[in-house]
Amino acid sequence: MLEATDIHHAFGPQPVLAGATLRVAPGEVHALLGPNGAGKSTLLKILAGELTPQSGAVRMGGRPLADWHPLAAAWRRAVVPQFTSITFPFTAAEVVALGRAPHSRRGAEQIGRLALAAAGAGHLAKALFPTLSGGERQRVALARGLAQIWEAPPDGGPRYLLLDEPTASLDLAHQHAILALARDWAAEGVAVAVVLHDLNLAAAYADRITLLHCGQIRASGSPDAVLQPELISEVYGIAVTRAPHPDSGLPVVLARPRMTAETEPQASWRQSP
Amino acid sequence: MTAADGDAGAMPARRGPRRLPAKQGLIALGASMLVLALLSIGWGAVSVPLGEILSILASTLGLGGDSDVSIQHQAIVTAIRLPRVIACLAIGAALAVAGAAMQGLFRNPLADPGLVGVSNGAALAAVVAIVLGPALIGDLPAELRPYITALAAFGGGIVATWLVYRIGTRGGQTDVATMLLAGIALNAIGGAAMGGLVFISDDQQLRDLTFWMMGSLAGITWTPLLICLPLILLAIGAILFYAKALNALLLGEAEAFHLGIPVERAKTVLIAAVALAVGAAVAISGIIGFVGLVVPHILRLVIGPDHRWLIPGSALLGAVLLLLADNLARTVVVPAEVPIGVVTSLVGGPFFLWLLLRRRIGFGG
Repeated sequence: MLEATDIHHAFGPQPVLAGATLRVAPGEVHALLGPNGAGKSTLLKILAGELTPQSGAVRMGGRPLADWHPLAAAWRRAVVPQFTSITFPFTAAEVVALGRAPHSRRGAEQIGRLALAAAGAGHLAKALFPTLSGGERQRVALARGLAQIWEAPPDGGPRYLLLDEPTASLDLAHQHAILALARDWAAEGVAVAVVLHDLNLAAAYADRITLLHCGQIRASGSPDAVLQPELISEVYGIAVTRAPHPDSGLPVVLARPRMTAETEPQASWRQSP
Repeated sequence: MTAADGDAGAMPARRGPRRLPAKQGLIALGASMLVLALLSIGWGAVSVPLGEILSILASTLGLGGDSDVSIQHQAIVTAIRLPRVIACLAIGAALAVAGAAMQGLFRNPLADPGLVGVSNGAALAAVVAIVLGPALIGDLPAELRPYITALAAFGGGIVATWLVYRIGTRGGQTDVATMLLAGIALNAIGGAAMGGLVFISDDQQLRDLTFWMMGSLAGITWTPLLICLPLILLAIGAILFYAKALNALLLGEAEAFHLGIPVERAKTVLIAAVALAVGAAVAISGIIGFVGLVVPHILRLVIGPDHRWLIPGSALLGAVLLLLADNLARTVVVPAEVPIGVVTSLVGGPFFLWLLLRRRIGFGG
């Protein structure tokens, strides 16, 4: 169990998280949703121990994050950032091999190959990482994370996979393939926390959705419970309707196209690249 | 197309770079280093045959050896050639390894102790110690002076490395432009300060200053070498110990932390080791530029960027290339000598330009 309790954090005078509480349980895909600037990535960084919150506690397996030896933490928790950039001529296979840094070298090569294949990047193994496209890099980075926690930690206990917008630069098929993979890992007992933008991907693959807004948790629960049109409309500032998917019956959230660009959220969206 | 096809199993495998096997490359480099070192001892105004060199070396090490070696040759080898060759090997290795470590630490292949002002900082501190030392701490016994110079060079190197790191890095990410510009600024400040010291120095000091600014191995003696050699070995050992951490740091500091690397400790040790290696090298020879830039770059093209091979490879290739440069420096205008810093800059400058052009044409970053 990875739990964050009553997290407060601010960059400068601007609070980013104001009293967020979250539990990521083994066996679950837990999606973090919310508009830009809601605090999703910051919360993920805090769960990862990368950022120490100004107040609040984070525990992994019941122990405060600070009490974990870095190596023991690395055996059970992998974090895949949104972007990975390397200016040195590493091949994709070598980048994935870096994920084996916390482990002995035994079997590293085979695990690297399997992880690359699992992330749909087996054919990129020998290619130089800096020459890959954004989507290819994202899959190789995911493979590195998988390789890191490929086997159960030597001292037992669950594994944690934290993904920051893993589908951001992927095409439709790869988006679904990666989230299906996350679900498979959760089915094996891994706790998966994933920041997503696409509500419908979350609806299709997450066991639990936590919706953030202005640094606070607005709702947390099953996709069906969280993806309520009124709530989504209010949080995102755009009118939405919800319908069952014609085949699967899962909820699908659809935004109603705007006729004007008058209101603030869309105006600011237009200006950003 | 169905969603499950997303794993693209049918995609053709992408081609990779052509590389040589690292282990064999290192063995070949080590062998050529030994051969070149022996040949270099023989080369010069007075030529000493290989057989004599071997027996002189054997007797110096207390392994016996023939007594039919001329006393003149014996003196040339042990007092002049041998310290010079060892200095070349040590300085070349130190600068190349420091360059490789800095590039890993800054996550950028353009970092070089000379370019970003670390060498200059070390040299400036050493020059200050030479010119102002007597005035500041009184007349020291002559035997202590090399120690003070080495210590000052190390201190200057640490301050400069730390400054560049603080200025060029924010939130674990290094901004290359800022780093290189900070290097320009540090080099300018160092240059101005050394100019000022030139102005107030006497004749003997002036000669020493010229030596620091151009980099030279002429007149090397055993004393400074024996002080600096252990420091260089210590620094290279420390960097080698953190080779795996350097690999992880290439992903970024946060990613290295997630991989279980003690990031802060690794950074502190690496910065100190770079400063120690560069400071010790500068204390022996003054500023020798571009070795730290050129050597790791060539090696990455040939054996790849894995620091577990790159660091020892840089030590060997740096030693070989600096020895070649020194042979050139001391034979091209016999009986005079070109400062070795001039030779490395003549080769390294164009190489740096080629690197910039190649990066602009190829993939950026």
